[in-house]
Amino acid sequence: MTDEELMEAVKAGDLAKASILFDRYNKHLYNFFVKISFDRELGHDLTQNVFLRMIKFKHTYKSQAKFKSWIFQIARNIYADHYRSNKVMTSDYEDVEIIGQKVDAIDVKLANDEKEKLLYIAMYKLESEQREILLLSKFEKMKYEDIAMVYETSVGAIKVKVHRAINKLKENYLQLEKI
Amino acid sequence: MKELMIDYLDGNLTGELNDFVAKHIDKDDHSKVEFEKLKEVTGLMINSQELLPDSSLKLEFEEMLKEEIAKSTQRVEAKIVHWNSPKMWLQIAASVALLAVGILAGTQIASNTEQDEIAALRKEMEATKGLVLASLQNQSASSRIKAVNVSYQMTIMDDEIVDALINTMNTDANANVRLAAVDALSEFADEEKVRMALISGLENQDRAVVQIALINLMVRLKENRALEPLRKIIEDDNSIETVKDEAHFGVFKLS
Repeated sequence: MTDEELMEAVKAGDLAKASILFDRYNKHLYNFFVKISFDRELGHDLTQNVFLRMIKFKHTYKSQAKFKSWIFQIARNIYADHYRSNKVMTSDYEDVEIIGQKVDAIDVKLANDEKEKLLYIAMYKLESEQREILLLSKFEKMKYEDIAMVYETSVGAIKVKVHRAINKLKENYLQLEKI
Repeated sequence: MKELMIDYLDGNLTGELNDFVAKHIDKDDHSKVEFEKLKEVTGLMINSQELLPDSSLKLEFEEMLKEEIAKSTQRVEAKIVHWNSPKMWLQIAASVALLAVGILAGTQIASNTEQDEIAALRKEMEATKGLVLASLQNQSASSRIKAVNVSYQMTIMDDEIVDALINTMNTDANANVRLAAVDALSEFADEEKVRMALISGLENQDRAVVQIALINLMVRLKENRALEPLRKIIEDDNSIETVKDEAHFGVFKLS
């Protein structure tokens, strides 16, 4: 069954089908949240929240809508809600060393790969929306059309945002290499 | 050229433009360095290591799903019993008969055993109530959701519980706890006090997801007193588009 067929079944009341969607998407969502927040525990909680909301708001799923775009739209809203209520945002002024420690805390393998660690530090120094958009476009390999559905905007606007975010990331990465 | 390099790297260029960018990168040293860095950073993102969640994530999800399935089954059963079951009608008839006997004979004839049972029941209700009220203050969001769910056991409306649920719906730090409170309150939506709290909750709510749940509830309850707050949401520049869309839909359905 496709994701969309499964979600239609959940919407119609066959809640058990949500389990298959969980198996297909929990790692994607977990990686999205951890790599945007640099916090494994938070990633765990927010991933759980996505699936709770998916069930509670099953009636808002529109037939034929791409499931991946819909579920990531929920994920974005949950992340925004979390930061709105906690009023904690990542800061441009945060020390590279402190960011490095946060990356170390996420994963040992990742911390040992110098280039990848540098990538995450460069990511951390981006604005939250830029990080989000790169996670969807490059890490999740979503097409511009599908990301446009997440943001309810045009494909052109998404393309501009992705390009800007990549260029900014590349600048940050180059600066960090020089340190 | 920066923009074109990204398109070139993503394979989005064709024909002459593709050849032009390829040649430019090849000839211009600065562009070559830029392109190599772009390729490196993009490659790192695409091949980034996948992080694995703790196995408890799956267990917690299964538990939550089980609860949701049980809740939806209960709702369906409640509806069937309420409207279709002859047993239910017998129970109602028996209750009416008992009430009539009670009125005729006066309350004093209640035996000691019955009084004991009533006292025990009351004690149990008070214990449940205490548990719900205390747990709603808990630090952990999942404990607060559990507390809200326990409140479903209260078969009759209790003012203190309802006040606590209204407060949770309007002020809890976690949107999911607020949603659970909306769900629980909707069970008592026939009570005027709860109905009014839900309508005013719609006006004062600062969480989009809860606003949407309340709008959907108003439509389900066919509550046209919600029209005014819905219009305010539509006119409010601070309302987000998705909420405005839902509010438009609500106005359409309720008008």
